[in-house]
Amino acid sequence: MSTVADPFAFLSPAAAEGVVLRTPMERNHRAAGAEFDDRDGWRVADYPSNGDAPAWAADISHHGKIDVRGPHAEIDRLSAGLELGRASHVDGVWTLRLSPSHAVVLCPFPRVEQLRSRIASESEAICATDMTCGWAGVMLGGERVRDVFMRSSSLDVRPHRFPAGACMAGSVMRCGSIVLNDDARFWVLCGWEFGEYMWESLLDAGAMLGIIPVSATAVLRSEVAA
Amino acid sequence: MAERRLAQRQGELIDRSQEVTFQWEGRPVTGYAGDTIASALFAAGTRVFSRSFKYHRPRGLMCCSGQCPNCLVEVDGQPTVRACMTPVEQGMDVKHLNAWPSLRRDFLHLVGRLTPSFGMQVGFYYKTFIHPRRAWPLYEKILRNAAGLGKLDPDHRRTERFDKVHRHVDVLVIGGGEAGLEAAAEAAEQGKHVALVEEGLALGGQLAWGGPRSNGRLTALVDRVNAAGVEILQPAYAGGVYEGLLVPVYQGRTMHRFRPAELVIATGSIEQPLVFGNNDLPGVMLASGARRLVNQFRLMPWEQAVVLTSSDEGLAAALDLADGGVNVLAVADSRRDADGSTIEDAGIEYLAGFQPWQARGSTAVTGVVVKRDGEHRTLACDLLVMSGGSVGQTALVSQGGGGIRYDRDQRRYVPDSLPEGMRVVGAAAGSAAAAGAVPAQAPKTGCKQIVCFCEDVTTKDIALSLDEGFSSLELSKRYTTVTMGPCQGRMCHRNSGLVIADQLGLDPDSQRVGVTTSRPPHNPTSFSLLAARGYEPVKRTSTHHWHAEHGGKMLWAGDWKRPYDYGDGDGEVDAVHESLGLIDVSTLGKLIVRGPEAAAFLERLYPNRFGDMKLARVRYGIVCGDDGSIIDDGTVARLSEQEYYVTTTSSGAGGMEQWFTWWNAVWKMDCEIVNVTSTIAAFNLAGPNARTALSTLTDFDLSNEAFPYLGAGHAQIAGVPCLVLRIGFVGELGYELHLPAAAGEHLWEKLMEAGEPYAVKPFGLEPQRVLRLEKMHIIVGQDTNAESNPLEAGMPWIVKLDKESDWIGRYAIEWYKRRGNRLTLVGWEAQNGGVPIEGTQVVGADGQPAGRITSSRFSRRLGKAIGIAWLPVEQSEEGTAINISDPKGSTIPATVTHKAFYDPDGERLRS
Repeated sequence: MSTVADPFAFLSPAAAEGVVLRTPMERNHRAAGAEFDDRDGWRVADYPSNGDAPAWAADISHHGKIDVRGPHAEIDRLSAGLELGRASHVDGVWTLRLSPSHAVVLCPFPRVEQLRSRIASESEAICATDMTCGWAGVMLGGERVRDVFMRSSSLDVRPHRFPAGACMAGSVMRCGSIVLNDDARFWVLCGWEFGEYMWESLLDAGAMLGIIPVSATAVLRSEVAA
Repeated sequence: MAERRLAQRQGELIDRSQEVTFQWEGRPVTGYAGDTIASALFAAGTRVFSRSFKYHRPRGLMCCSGQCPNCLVEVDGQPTVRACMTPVEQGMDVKHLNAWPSLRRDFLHLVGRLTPSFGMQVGFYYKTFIHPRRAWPLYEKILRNAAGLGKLDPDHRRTERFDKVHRHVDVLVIGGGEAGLEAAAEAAEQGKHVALVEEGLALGGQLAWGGPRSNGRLTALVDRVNAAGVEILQPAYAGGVYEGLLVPVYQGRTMHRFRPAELVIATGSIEQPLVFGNNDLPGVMLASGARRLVNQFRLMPWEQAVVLTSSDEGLAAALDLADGGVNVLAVADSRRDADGSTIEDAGIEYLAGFQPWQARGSTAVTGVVVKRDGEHRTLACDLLVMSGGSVGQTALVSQGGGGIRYDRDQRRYVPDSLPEGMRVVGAAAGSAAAAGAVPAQAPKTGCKQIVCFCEDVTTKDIALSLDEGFSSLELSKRYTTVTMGPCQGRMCHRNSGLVIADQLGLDPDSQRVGVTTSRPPHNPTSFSLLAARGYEPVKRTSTHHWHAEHGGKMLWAGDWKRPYDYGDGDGEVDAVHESLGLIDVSTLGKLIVRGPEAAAFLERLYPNRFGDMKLARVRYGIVCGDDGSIIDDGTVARLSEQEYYVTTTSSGAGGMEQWFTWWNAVWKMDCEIVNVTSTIAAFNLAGPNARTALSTLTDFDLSNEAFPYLGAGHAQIAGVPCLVLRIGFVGELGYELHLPAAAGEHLWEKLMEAGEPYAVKPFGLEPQRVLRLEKMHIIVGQDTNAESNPLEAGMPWIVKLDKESDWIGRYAIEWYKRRGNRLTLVGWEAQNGGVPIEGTQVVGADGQPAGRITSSRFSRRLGKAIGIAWLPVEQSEEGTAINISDPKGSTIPATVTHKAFYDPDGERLRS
């Protein structure tokens, strides 16, 4: 076996070459008539509508995700003292503090490996894992976003309980999930294997409210800014 | 429409400017917007709305508040709709339930006339329709057609959706009467987020139907509640109170699952009927029911009314009815010493101490006989109002974990201890004003005295149950079904207790009769609401759709969908043995264990030795519980000095993560555990041509010299970064590829493409089971159970009792070793072509069970059935002949073996 700089490089789609990377919801998008764009190696759905509806959902599974674990003090330092249940957004990167020893970093996919390496190099006690393919992601938005979410989870997302910049882990559609409030848009991350189910279920939950699918590129801040 | 409607008045619910026409029994009926089906029909002259459940007695409006069963009808094909709670809609199609051929002439009412001689009294289904036995099919057909309330159309398909919403509020108030409105307003004015639930047609409770005097107070309260921003759900009802104060509220087609910080129960009280002969005749109504018709729907069709009462509530009702224009002839008060002066002042005859004896009439009440001592009076009337006092609605208190106690002064149950976060207000909390005299039990008459209106349970039925030994309310309930109908005891719990107390000679206030247990749902609730949008999480691998699109029979395997086979199970097995097969094993659990103490951590968790593992090697391991039993198995690959990659069974992934994490929390070792099951797709390419095919996709040296069996390496395959493990569950040369899930479909397609020259076949779970069995590889949970230890499971080589560190299960396994094996897990080969069924017994020489078959399949390659079994040690020697039971009654002879059936030396695996 050859010496490998990172023995867990096989977790990361960033190391793939000439490969079409797919999200779990590809068949759903195809069935809904979406076209596809190639973005950074990912086949990303492109919908005609840009979110002018009471509620919308976007497949953000291709967004980069890093799982960070370590001693409390190290996570404190890395997250600049972020409180439990809070998230910060700096330079296109979200940092979510889920527990004293566990944080999650969300970033544009091309930056995943660089960020992961940098985090891992901060301390030997830190374990930073590329979980881009570990969690599928759906972003929910629109003025009825909370009504859609309330049909999906018993987590309390009332504005005073779950304000902008808050994050939590809990059950959404009966799956363990991570939820982030990105200024009245909710990121919902679940196991990759649940991605298709989560997409179908969330759209079903919002069906009576007029939910529509939209392109991730239209709603992800980093991509909109780009 | 110029029928008997009273003059318009504040507080009425009808809108006389809008007429609504609907169908009743195929004939058009016109009411007003705001009418219920019941009030519109009543206005149009209908007096019989239904037939009772068992005896098919004609029934009319009684409570007008959704508590009793008397007005259950079918609306637009949906049965058991309460007409008194359902607003009329244009074009509705309303029909009767439970009568044949018509409501007016119901053949089945003969049943009531035939009891007790034919035997429809309580418990009849244990005593009748059993002789002659051969007639049962006929009896069954008759009973099935006669039983139940309403019919469902099996071909009906719902098109409307039902919804489910999770709600959080600071305060949830159940009950929109005076006390509930007050509590809601007060909480909202303090800035709390408040929701109020009211099941009635209007807010206000008694304020709404109690007459014009209460209109001002009601208006003020409603204005206050609205101004404070209370969210009102109405009509809606609370289905129960569950643990943690979870309250499902049903409104229309939506279930709101409320989790309030504080729950206020303001469910008020329910007026109780009186028990006397023919007390269920049309025209016999609760006082509150009559008042609702008069005050809310402005109906007053009666010529003359008599009021029967046992409480001050009844006196107040009589005066209100009189004020409303009802000609109240007399009030018969069962109390001898109550103050009836207000009645007499109103010019109504007051009969103190007179008990109701019997209502007169056949399809409608024409009069009533009341008695006191030896005197009796017969009073003509077409409205007989009964008011037996009221009882607090405390069911939700009990369901929510609160206690109730009997208050002798109030003669009712009141809340006692309440769980944190629950408060009870208003009449539900108790009310001295509502206290009533205990109604004396009705003397024996020749006619039925209904105790439970829903289930047609009479005083005689209850007496019979007591005679037969069902000597408490709980026991009598189970035999008679009293309190088990749609009202769930609201109308009959108290009276059934009083009847039992009377029959047993008990003091009714002693409460020795007991109470029944209240359970949700609190109201009859449709299954559609309970099911609503039911979600069943399903796990799919990254190649799920490829399998489905290429003939894979997708079945549940735990919470995953996996292909059983692709339509040619035998061919798939052959492909693996003869050339090339590919299987998706992405469902395997996968954990990273990394850190300075990762090796030491694994040494403590496994009976295996891992501390001496070389880099780039993979080893099979089992995990044992504290009791030494096998709880999971998998592989461990060492990828660096401090980094290990662990696989588990598919169904054990979550459990193993918990197991690992738990023990690390206990030991606090310097290592991290990360569950990457979702992140990684995994495929097993197996068969004699595996190396050749795979080599076309990678520069990685796959030769046996460079990459021997049980090696682990990193390779770029078809552009995809992979961890390659040279292991094999299916007994042929094989490579297990672990890669990022997002690249799964890409690589799968490339592997299939590369395998085309070798006639590659995808193979599913069933062929895999045959293949692994040929190698006698166990499946944890199938070949093992909660008592299987590795020594008896034929894996003593895995257990390293000489390890320095302690490890989970060590103590137990050392004990097993000292004790010696009693059972052994062995292989067997059938000798006569038979294929035993998994789970069947091995039969000993004495004909008794002597072991169990855990796995069994027919191997075409070997031409015989093979499998695995647990046998007593004394019967487990190599070559021992055993007999396996066969469901056809015979046995299948087999021979014990300890060696793999196919390629026992593993030459093909290590090639």
